Amino acid sequence: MSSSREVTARKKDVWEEAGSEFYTESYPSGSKTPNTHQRRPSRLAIPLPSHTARRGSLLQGSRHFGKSGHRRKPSVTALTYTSTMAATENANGTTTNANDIQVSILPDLSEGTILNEKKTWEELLRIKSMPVPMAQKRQLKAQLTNLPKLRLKGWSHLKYLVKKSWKNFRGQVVRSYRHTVFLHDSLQAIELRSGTAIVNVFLFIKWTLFLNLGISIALIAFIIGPYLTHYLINGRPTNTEDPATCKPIDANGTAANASVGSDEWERFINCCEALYTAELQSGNATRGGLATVFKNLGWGDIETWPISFSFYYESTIYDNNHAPYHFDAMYVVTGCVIFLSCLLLMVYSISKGVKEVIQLNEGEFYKYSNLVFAGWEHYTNDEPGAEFKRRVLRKEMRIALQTEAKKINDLMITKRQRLKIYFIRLFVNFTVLALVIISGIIIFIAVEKTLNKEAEVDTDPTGLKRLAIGFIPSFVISIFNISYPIILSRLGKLEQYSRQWETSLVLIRALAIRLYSIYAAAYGFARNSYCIPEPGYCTECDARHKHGLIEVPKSNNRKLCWESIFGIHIYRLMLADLMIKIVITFVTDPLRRLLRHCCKNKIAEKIGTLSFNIVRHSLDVIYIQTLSMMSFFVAPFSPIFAVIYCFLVFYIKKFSVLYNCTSPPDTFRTSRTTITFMAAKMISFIIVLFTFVSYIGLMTPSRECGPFRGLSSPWEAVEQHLTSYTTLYDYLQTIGSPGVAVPVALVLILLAYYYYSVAMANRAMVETLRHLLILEGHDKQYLFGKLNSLRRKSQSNSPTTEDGVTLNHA
Amino acid sequence: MGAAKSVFTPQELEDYEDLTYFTQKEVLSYFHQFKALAPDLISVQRDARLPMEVILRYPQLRYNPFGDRICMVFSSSRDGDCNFEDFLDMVSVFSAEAPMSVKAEYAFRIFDFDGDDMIGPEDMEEIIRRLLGDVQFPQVDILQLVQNLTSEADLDDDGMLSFAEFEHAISKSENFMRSFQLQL
Repeated sequence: MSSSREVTARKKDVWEEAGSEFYTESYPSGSKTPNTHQRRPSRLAIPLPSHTARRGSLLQGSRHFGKSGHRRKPSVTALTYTSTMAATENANGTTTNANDIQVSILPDLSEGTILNEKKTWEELLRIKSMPVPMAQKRQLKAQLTNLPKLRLKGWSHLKYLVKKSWKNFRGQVVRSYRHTVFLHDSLQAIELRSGTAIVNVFLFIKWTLFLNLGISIALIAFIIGPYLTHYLINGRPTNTEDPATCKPIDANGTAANASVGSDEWERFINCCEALYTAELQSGNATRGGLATVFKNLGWGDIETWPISFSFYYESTIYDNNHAPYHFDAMYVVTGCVIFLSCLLLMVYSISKGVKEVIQLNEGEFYKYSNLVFAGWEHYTNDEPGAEFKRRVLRKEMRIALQTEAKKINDLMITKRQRLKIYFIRLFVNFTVLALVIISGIIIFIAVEKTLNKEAEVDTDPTGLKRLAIGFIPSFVISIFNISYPIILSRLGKLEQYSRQWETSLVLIRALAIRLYSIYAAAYGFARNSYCIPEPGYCTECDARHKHGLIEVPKSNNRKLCWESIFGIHIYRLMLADLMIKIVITFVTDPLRRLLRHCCKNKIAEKIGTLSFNIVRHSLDVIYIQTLSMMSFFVAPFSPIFAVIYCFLVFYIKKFSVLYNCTSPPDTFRTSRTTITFMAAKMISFIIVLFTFVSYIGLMTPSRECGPFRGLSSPWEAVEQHLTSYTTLYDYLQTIGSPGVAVPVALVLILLAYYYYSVAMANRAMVETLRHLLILEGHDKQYLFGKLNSLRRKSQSNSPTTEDGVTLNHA
Repeated sequence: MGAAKSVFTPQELEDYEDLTYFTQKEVLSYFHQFKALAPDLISVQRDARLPMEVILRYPQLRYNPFGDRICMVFSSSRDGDCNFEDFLDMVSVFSAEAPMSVKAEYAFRIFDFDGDDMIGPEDMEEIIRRLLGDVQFPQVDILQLVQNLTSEADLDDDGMLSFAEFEHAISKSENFMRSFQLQL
């Protein structure tokens, strides 16, 4: 039909061959004339001083580039440029040759300048960094040492000694840190084999390990240690109440009107505890499968072990001198301090991420320079490593080119295609949302069903069946954690975003799913075991709060000592996760690899190629970190378990990288994912912070176990003890009040605005300077063109060459 | 160790320690590595010049696509043959303690294949070809990469990278310091 032919003809017009002028980087300086591209650089006969100038040799002292780039002020640079230019003229009559970096190295000896020790030392450092052969350097050093030297006296001598010894010390410390740091050899092996991007995941694991180690040390020092020593010395105080007499007190709620702190109240609390101990000792396996297994193994009640919350019974510990250690207040305060320090750590790493974002936005991340000049890692020392590097580089280059082509295609997209892409993106977002909700519902159902089943009295004496049932939610969560990133990355490819944005989206979605799964499980648990109790009853739920945020359990009773049950669930989650990882890495993945070798069809090949999915593995680490920080309050040993977990996971993943994964990873240097990981860490931290705050401030602790018995919230313990320090209390009140907070906020806003305007001014200056540079460059080209034509004219007039100007044929 | 120590005078060892980024022990260990490349030659004459093929047997240089350029740059006789002092220079520049300016200078010389003190399009093409190895990449893609690289790093728009532009581009790359090391 003619119309379709018309359409195709029109399409052809639109889709003309993209010439070289389309393949441009978005040049920040604005307009660029097309004929400056693909410019054949005119071979310059005369080596210009600006080309051979080396900043490092022009400036005195050492320049530091890299992470802490201290730049000298521009005025000093200008001075040294001009002064050294003059020096070059005087010192040698010849013009600078490309291979000799002349420039005045030694101070002008003819004037008889006397060196002192410090200047000599600095000169020596300068000689060290000069790019000349060793023999020449030794000559220079010999010359330097033969000069007469003045000894420094007094204060400057002291300063020189301090500076020198500090430099040596720092060098030694850095050296020893590099070689003796924990896990160094493994990291080296991984880096040699697979490059920097994968090593970053392992560095992340190491960082998390040390973070958890820090938290564990804080917990051991302030919570576990003191209590354990007290327990080992004094044992557990016995309860005077008899469960039999206590039952009616609890059933009738006789202490409902008792005021807190009165004798009746105390008796009531002790009664609850007696009931709890009675339940523990009864034969009914109502405390979960793990407890039954422990009992059967003869290890006693798991809830009397230090890993459980119910071990920490007393709220105040008295040491030999009867000095009170306010255990309950310290518990809460330690938790707050841990969160505060983690927050500071987060802020510190965020600041590094912000720098990266700025670099990205200012167009200062030089992707291609990084790829080409820093592409080859020179420490590669074997053939497989070299081959792997080459494959990675090829892949990166192809991706870089594709991104460019895609950018151009995006510009020329028709309206219909754009609409289609929007629909696809909407569809994908809905699918992801649906997947998240489905996963949450499934996990919730799994948790509820298993909890109900566990509560049923089971005739199985070994408790193993109950244990297996108890592990089901953990396995479900782990399965989701493993399968979802794969599904998400497939969906992400449909959306046709740029590579970097795609990776970030996959990461955020996978993180959302993980956090959601944890909280769905927690919600399921809370619904089953927690409610706000009525005053006067140990576990009976308060009818007034029946329609709150969390539904009340069906039995209208909350579980006795729900915190310790919750803690044990968390331990189970960690254990299940670890077991699944072991199974996958050591059993299923090698089998998949074998599949590839045995059967030669396409599907087997696809199943068999494993690549190290950076997103999934980084999220594993964030997951364990979230678990540990969410639960260290009710399960004080969870950071310690997290340390062990990180350690084991490091080696498991190392095995996976070195032996299982053969193809290069999906995301690496061309996509900057650091900022996304930073955001992921921050998001999970904020959510965990909310959990902690709500636990401390809003939830009623168990009446029968733990150091917060009888209080209406753990924070009350701190308040009770703070009121005894009236001055400190008043001080804290004034700091927290609006009178102080508002001016501080105002000052911070003003500071932020100041830095913002400085940044804008700098940006404008960079633009101007860039523009100037280009103009200068054009001037140069023009002048050289003129010079060459003049020379050619003079050559055609007279055949002899002019002296002083050598003709290099390019 | 004792035998090697007697190969160098204390003055030489002190010079080496002052003029490289190593301690004396490390200098001696590198001497051992150098000697291992051609034991019979070095044990006879300490300052013997080893031909380039022998130097390229060093593990990090063997699989390095720029191995020959590295030898040429560091060779004091400018023909690729290195004696121990050249080798020491090389490992010193490639060590972890060497600052960015030193590495940038030598990297520039290594990448400047035609020796005209500028990295031009032909140099960049050669670098990319060497990085890719034996696999054939379409010519148009390589030219496109060169084009992108030039427009990214070339500030004064003359189509080539001078040292200042190279150093500037390198300072923005976060991998350079780590990649430019011979030992981790």
